[in-house]
Amino acid sequence: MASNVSIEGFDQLKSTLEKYDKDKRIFVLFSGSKGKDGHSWCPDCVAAEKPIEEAVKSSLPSNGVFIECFVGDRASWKDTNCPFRTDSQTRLTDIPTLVEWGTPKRLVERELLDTETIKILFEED
Amino acid sequence: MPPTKDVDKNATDHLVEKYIEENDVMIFSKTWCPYCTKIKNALKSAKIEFYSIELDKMAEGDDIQEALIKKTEQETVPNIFIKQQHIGGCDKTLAALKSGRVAALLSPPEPEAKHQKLEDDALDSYDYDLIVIGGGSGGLACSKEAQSFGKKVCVLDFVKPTPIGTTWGLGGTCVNVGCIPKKLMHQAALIGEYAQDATDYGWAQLEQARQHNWSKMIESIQMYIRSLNFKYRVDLRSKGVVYENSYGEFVSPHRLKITDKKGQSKEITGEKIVVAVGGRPKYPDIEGDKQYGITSDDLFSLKYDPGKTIVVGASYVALECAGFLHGIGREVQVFVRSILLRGFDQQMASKIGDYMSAIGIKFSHQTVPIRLECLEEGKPGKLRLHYRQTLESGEVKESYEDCNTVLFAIGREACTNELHMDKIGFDLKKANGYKIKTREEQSTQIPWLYAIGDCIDDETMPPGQPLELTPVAIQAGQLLARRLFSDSSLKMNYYNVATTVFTPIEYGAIGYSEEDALSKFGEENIDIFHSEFVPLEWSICHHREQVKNMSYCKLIVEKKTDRVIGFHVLAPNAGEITQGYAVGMRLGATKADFDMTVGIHPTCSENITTLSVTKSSGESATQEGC
Repeated sequence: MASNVSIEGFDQLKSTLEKYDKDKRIFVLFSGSKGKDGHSWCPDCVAAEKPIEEAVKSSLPSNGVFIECFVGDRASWKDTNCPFRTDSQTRLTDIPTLVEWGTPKRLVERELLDTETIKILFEED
Repeated sequence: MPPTKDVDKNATDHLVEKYIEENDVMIFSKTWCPYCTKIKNALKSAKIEFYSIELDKMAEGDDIQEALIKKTEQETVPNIFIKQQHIGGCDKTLAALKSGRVAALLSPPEPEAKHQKLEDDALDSYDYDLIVIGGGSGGLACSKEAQSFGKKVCVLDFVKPTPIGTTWGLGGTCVNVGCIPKKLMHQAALIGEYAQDATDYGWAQLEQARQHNWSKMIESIQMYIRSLNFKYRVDLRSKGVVYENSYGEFVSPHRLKITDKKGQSKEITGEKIVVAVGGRPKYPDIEGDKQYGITSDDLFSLKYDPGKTIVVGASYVALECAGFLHGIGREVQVFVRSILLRGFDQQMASKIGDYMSAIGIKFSHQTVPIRLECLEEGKPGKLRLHYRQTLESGEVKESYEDCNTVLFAIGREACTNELHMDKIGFDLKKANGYKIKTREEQSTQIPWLYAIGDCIDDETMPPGQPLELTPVAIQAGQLLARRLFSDSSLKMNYYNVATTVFTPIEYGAIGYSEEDALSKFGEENIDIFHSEFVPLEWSICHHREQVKNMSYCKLIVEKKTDRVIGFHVLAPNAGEITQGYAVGMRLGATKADFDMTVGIHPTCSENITTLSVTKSSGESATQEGC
């Protein structure tokens, strides 16, 4: 089984990604940070939690790494200068967004409510 | 019985008859009955309208129930009639829904001639309303359109690897090994040309431009193709179309055996089946062809630089590939058996040949490959292609040419051969490239079988025209789905379909070739207007000196009506130029319409709006001035 990694913020994302070998397939879920109550401020992110968990549990490939990357609180995300929005490698416009890092494949918002759709992302090319 | 009661009973019988007559779907129900609720919900889900009366809430409820028992011998509710036919209770009606009997009762009768065989082949129920075999341009469009009418649809897509093991994802030929990568590689070649134009435009010499990295280009293109494969998968899923990455074969009418990559099989049935399997490149059937040669199926994902390449064939695939390989700096030779671009206007074809020769692509005419030998393994290796050439003198010489890659582009064949169509009484003849004969996309042999795209030969197609095109398959697929599942009667029109060949100088065409126009209308009944011209952008470029006069356009006009029946343009960006004119041709534009349309200056396209010289006049067609 692959490791499950949680990171906070843009700088941590970049440094974490450097650690992995080229033969790994890296999947990054971008979602709203969790508050003191343990829940994300972003309702769409909360709704996608279960389907994503199910898909990861059943279908994450053996060479796959699943990283959960929190983009910050509501204010940080809504800021147009948020690095997750502006950086050319992420260019996020919505959360939650699930990408396979290094490929143009991504799923956003409503697409993440369906476990079968998420499994398509995990399939081998 | 006292007379009043008899009258009452008759009145009730009449009342019951009235309810049954006046409503296509009539439900005699009771408010507290769970089976009544169940069947009403099922009908609502199937979007079937019904009328129901609640016997427990009506004064004459008991009488009606007695009348029903007398009429149908059924004592319970719900008691259901469809189009005046007694169906039964909840279970019987659910079964009738599933088997399609309800739909059949409610829909108008179908024309007999086409469906005589239906009685022999029909099943009681089907897994799917529609199964589409093939997830390419046609298949995906047809399946999504069918699903939009609420039908249960399944798409089968499976790529049998090439002899050297190349394979690809969902989307068919166009996305993976056709139009998309072709156009991107054509663009790569054009960029190389612009880099050479650059100096004359004042840019410092772009030396780097002449270094082309094959792997980088493949990486960019394949990345894009993979994103399309992914997009199509997600799209089918979000639209509720079932996707099976399995190879389908017919077992019996309406029934397919589907086998996945692991070799596991299952059977599925479809009330209607659309074959959209497209085609694959042919091999010449010579020694070494499959072992050492490649086709377009392999070229667009080739993991190593092809180096010096011999392209065998003179199809548009051959010429387009030869064109862009040369454009990115590889040495290219084309082996042509007889003519260039069979099926296309031959004057235009020979102009393309002249242009490609002028820019440095070698053509070997009247040449047939006889054996392909591998001298050295490698990526690429060293190959030796033995050939036979008939010289102008008539003498036949046998020789060989060494190269790194041999690309066979000698034509394509429909992939219908391995569908086991003999199991449904179908006969495929090799002479027609294994294509399925259809009339308005319905099989001429089997009524529940339809087909679209590259694998068909439709009776309504103009003969000899290049129609194996993505937009043709898409539109035919969509219109077919609408005719099958809604009340549309719009048919596909295979005439005046615009096409473009993306050779180094592009060629756009709509309608008749000169040969076809002459043979159909006769020389005295048509006028051919034409002109050579120089693309302004090329006029200041030294490296274009030899070829800048080679752009050309012609319009074929039917004298009687002044209608433009043939449009041909050889120029940079001919693809973009031609599309707009297709709208005009569709509306029956005349030569006068073309002339009265004010041109946009300065463009290549404007030349088509100012044609005045005819071929028959013998006057010079070279452009003067401006």
